[in-house]
Formats: sequence, C-alpha cells, structure tokens
Amino acid sequence: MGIVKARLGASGANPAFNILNYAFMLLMSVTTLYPFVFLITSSLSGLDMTLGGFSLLPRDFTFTNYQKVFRNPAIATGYYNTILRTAIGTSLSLLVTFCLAWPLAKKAFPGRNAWTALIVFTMFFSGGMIPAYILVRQLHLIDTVWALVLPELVTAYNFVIVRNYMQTIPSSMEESAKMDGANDIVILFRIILPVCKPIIATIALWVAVWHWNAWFDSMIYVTKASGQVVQLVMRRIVLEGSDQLTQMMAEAQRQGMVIAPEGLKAATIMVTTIPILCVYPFIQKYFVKGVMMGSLKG
Amino acid sequence: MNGAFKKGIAAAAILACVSFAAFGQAKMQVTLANYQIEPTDPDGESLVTYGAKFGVLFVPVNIDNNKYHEILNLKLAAGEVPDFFYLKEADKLNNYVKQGVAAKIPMDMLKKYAPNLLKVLADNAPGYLDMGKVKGSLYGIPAVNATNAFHIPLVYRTDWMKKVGVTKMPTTLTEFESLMYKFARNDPDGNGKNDTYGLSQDGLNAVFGAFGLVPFDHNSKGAAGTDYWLLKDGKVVNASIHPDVKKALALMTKWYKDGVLDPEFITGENQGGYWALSHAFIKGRIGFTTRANYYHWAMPGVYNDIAEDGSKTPCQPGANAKELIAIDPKITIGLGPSLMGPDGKQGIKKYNMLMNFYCFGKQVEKDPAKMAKILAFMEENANPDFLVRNAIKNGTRDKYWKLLDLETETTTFIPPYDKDTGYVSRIGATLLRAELPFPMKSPSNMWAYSLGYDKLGIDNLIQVGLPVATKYKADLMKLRDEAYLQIITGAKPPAYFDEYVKAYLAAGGTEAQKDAQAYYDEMSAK
Repeated sequence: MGIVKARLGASGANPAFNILNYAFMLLMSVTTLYPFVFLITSSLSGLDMTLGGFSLLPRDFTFTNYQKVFRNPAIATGYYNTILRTAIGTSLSLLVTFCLAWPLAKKAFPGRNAWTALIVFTMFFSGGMIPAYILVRQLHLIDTVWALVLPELVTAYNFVIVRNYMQTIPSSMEESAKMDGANDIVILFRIILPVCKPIIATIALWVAVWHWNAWFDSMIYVTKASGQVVQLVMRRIVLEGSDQLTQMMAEAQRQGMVIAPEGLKAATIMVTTIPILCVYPFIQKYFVKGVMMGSLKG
Repeated sequence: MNGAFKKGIAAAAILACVSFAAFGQAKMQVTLANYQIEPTDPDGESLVTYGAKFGVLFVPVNIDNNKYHEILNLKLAAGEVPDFFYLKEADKLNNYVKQGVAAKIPMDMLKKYAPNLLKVLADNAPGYLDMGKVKGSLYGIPAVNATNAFHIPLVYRTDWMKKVGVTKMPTTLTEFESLMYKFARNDPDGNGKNDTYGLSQDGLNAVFGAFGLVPFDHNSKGAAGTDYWLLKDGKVVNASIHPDVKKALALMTKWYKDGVLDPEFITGENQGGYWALSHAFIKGRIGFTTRANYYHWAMPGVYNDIAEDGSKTPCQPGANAKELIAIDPKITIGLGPSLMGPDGKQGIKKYNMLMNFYCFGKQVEKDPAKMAKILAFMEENANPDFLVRNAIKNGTRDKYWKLLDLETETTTFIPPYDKDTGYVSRIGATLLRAELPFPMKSPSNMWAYSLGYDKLGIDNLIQVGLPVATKYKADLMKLRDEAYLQIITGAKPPAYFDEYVKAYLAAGGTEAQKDAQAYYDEMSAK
C-alpha cells in the first residue's frame, strides 16, 4: 500500500483524488468479478461453496462437475441448437438489416421518412406476447429453428444504428463507383459494406449475443426437448430444487431426491457462458468505433 | 449455412408428416399438461403404453414448470386449451373457472369411471374433494400430498445441547427459551467467539406454534406464500392478525435485542439452491430450525431401510443431514416435539395437504367419451394395487424400478434411473400422474410416526385460495411482513400491532375475512 501511495503521489496530480479513483475502480471491478470467480471456484468444488466460509479456493478440487456437464446429452443438443440459431440468426439478421438500411439511408429514396417512421414505431409499440405466439403458430414455425430466428430478424434499434452509420458515408464515394460502371448491388457489396466493417462487427456481436442468451422464445415456441437451446437447459439445471411448490410435487414422487449439486449448476453456467465471452476480445476494437459512429442522429 | 437451411426445411417437412399422420389416425387425442421436470418425448414410453391400454393418443403439451402458469395462460389465450391440465398453484382454480377454461366434472361421471379415486380421497383426505368445487360444481380434482400430514420438524443441534448442559429436548416454550439463550451465550461451538444464535426465521414457527398459530408461510423466494386461517371463538380468522401473535412477537423482540434471534432472520435461512437447505443451521450459525420436512434431516441410521436383498439397512442421510456430515461428521442433531406455550396451547405449522388441482379443458365438458378416458388414467393412479399405480407413476416395473418389499411399499430405482430424476418426465409418466393420498407405509414414514409428527400439526382451515383473499393477498402479506419485522427489530413498539391489524382490515382484510367465513360456513354445513 505504501508503494502505491508513493507512486500516486509522484504522479503530480491530486493524490487524494487518484487514490479515491483507483479505490473506486478497484471496488467496481471486484464487485463485478467476484461473482464470476465464485462461480468458477464453485464449479471446481465437489462440496457446496455456499456452505463453507468466504474463500477463493474450491473446498475440494475436482473436475467431476465438468465431466457430468459434458456427459449430459441435453447440453449437447442444446449447444447444437444454440449454435444453429446463432449462426442462422446472425447472418440473416445482418443481411436483412443491411438491405433494409441501405435504401432508407438514401435521401432520394421515395417515402423514406414514412418507412423509417413505420419501423421506428415498432420500437415503442408491440403486439405483445399472445399475438406473437399466435402468428408464429399460424405460420407453422412452432418447433422449428425459424421460430427463434424470424420474429427478431430485424430490430428497429439495430436498423436505426446501421442507417445512421450509412448516412455518414459521403455520397461522392458512391458516385465515383457509379461513373466506373457499378450498379447498386455492386456498390452495396463492393464499396459500402467494406466501409461498414465496424458497424457490421458491432451489430453482429449484438445479435449473436442476443441469440446466444435467449431462452424465453425457445421455452414458448419449442416444445420438444430435441429443439431446446442450451440456455433453457442450463436454466432448468440451475433452478432445479429451488422452487418449493414444484419441489414438494417432486418429493411426493421421490423422497430422497437427486438434486443437482451447486457445483454442477456452476459448471453448467460456465460451460454455457464461456463461448460467448471469448468472442468479445476479438470484436472489441470495432465495437467502440461502431457504436460511436452509428449513434442516434437525426 | 446451406446445410442448416436444408436441415430446417427437412425438419419442417418431417413435422408436417408427423402431424398429418396424427390427423390420419382415428384414435381420440387427449392433450396433457402436467407437472414435469423435463419435456416429454411425444413417443414417450408411458404415453404409448397407456395410450394403447385406454385406446387414446396421448399428446404432451410441454410447459416448463418454472413458468408454468405464464405459459399455460399464453396457450389458453391463444385458444389452445389442453384436455387435461394441472394447476401448479391451487389459488388459481377460481380464475380458470371464471374465465371458462375449466370443465365441470359431473359427480356421476366420477362415480362411474373413477370409483377408486373417490374412495381414496374419501378415506384418507375427507373433505378435500369439496375444495375443488366452485359454486357447488366440481371443477378440480385435488392433488393431495399425504406426507404433509406430518408437521414441520423441530431440529436441534444435540451436540450443542450437550455442550451447554441440556440433555432433555425442550417440550415447553420456557424450556425452549432457556436453551436458545444458552445456544447464543454459552459458546456451544467452543470456538471462543460469540458468533452463535439460538434461532433464525424458520425457527420462529416453533414459537408461533406454541401459541397455536401459523401466521406466515413463505414459499420459495418471491412467491407470496400461503394464507393460514384459524378458528377463534367459532369465527374464522386469518392467523396473521390473531391477537395472540402479539404475545409471540413480544418474545421475539426480546430475543432479537438479546442476540438470541439471528439478526439475519430477515433474509431467511436458505441462501438459494435447494429449497430445503438451512444454510444458517448447516454453517453452525444457529442451533435450531424448523426448515423443510422431517426426511430432509434424517441422519444415517435413524431408521432402517430395506436393502436389495430384503434385509434391513441403515437409511441414507437426508439433504440437510448430508451437508452437515460433509462439514463435520461429529455434528449430531435431534428432532424434538412441538412446544407447549404459556396458554396451554401446543402445535406447529404443517404444510397444506392440498397441493394443486387437476382440471379438464372446457371442451371436455361436452365430450363425455373423452372425459371417461381422462378419468380412466386418473383411476389407474388410484388403483388399490400398489404395483399397478406405481407403474403409472414411475414407468415399467423391472425396467425403471423394482420392488423390494410389498408390505412397506419399498421400491428402488434401477441404475441409471436412480440418479436420473428426469426420466419420469421424458417417458411421460408425470403427465399421466395424479397425486393421491394413500396410507403411508414406508420406513421413513414410520420414523415420522414414531416421532409423533402426525399429531399436533396446526391445520389450515381453508387451504383453497378464495377469490377475495387471493385478490388482496400480496398486499396484505407485505403489510404483515413489514409490521412483524418492525416490531421484532424494535423499530416500532409492540402496541404497533393493533395499528397493523387496523391497516390490515382496511386494506381488504375485512372482505377477505367475510369471504372466508362464508366459505367455511358453507363447507361445515355439509
């Protein structure tokens, strides 16, 4: 601590402010990191971590929790379904969002404001869950991956960000391409999209993360175990035994219930979270740039 | 990407074929929504077996049990009313009847197609069938949990008792109080630190019980809990405003001040995960609790189970006992009797035996043939032959489970199903299941009888959610919790209780009371 103090003092700025600043940031980092660290230790512990005292080390070190998670067939099918929906959902979302935003970013496009207003309208008003469910059912999408992909294909928010970003591209760039004989499709894919890389990365990340984390739509639209996403499986494992009403029903059935230990629940959470965490570092460099440039403007 | 597209289209095509095949069949379809831990396979073994037996096509309606009512409501609103569905929360029966989604179940149908079901209910849970009636007609067949006939356990750290020089289990509130003070002050864990308490939130049940009261029941986190109604001078009264609550609160206030009641009692003893665990007790913070059921606290060998070869074997530890042993095998616990209070009352909370209801979709009302089919599988659950009803409960005998002893109705699950609680849901057994109150014969039940836990449990006079009480329930319970908390922690004087009662009655309590009285009068007139 003494060294830290000396260094902060040497930096010349108001040392009290610096110390406070560092302390605050440290505290913030600890409060966000600790639950995560706790989950990691918990997942590596055979005994229930909540029953020991405060500790950063597992109560008894073991990998059995992870072994069990990977042996669970529901996790495997869940993973497959999640990857499938994320891959289809993200690529389709990007394609459709860009095809929609491109013409609407053009000042000359007829009815541009009306179309935009119509899309933005959905940001504030929605039909609600029941009509959405009925629609998906009428379209015969129940129990297919399309029920998880199509309803959220274009979100108004992403559309606005992309459109605004495209509006910042100087029209001269496009005009010069046109003089070289390029048509609109070529311009979109050869000129505009490369310029849009940061916003593509940003939107792709958002949509992918949304797809990765989504479970409620899977709960409603997919009724077969073979079609459920990994987050739903994880949720089921994590919630096992916590609901007394449910549990009394289960215990009437089988006293001496086999409940998933806390360590297994933690391991399940880790297994379902880590892949999406790994994506962040690679996209981060585009991330800030993309959001800044696409932020809401007139 | 292309492969994924193809796969999606292929899946849609297969789905279309399957549904076409289903329509092509002449068999009557019965859609089922019931308790399940995992989604049921449409070709689940139990659905197929019993479908063939009763000549119907059972179609699972998979609803995640943790969001059961939200999703059931969504389906109902979209016009998909299952032919058979259970209500996870018994309170909801009135709503579903009012909204016209539950079918009237004629008594003569029950007599004709489910005589055993009626008999089991009449023999072992008289009066419970009436709880499924709304305005005189039956809409819900009650699911009754026989185990809840035993009251909640009074669990003591007996090694602590030894340490503080008490050998006898407390039987009166006075003895209990003196023990709690010793737990808090005489360093029962011997670590030289003043870090133990007598009791926490669940322990309060024992104190209220000594006044003949059950003023609160918290279900799992977030749920509002159950209302308890008692009889006072022939009138129905909500336990939470019973005048004797004041006496119990006075004691708790004193204990809180003296450091006998764990200051963390506000957040409860369970810190998440499995609901039955008392983390405060397991960690050695408190020496007494009433959490969960007696069987969660069975130490190895407190009773004998029956082994594979038919011989006797010491029982396995219950969920809490298992954790205690993992912390320190030297820990000992004991289960005591409910406490006698200063006014000569003795008792303690027991959970409602009424768990939920089984309802039939409105469309079944006009389809007696379908109703007969549904009653047929419910009747199978009521079969006097244990082996028959255990097969619909747990799947095929000698595949999923085997019989160890018929007399005590002891069975064991065949590996890997001993560690797989989800299989009953996958094969569809849980969808065809009705929870009925058969006499309890297992060694574990015998242990509870030997503890006398079938006696002195305080019955909840009205277990079904009445419309008015349900309407105000959340608000009233909030009022109650705040008032109790403020009085116990000393933020408000004991006299504040009278103010709370006034506020309670004004906030809908009077109406709820009137409703409850009317219901009770009607029921007791029968």
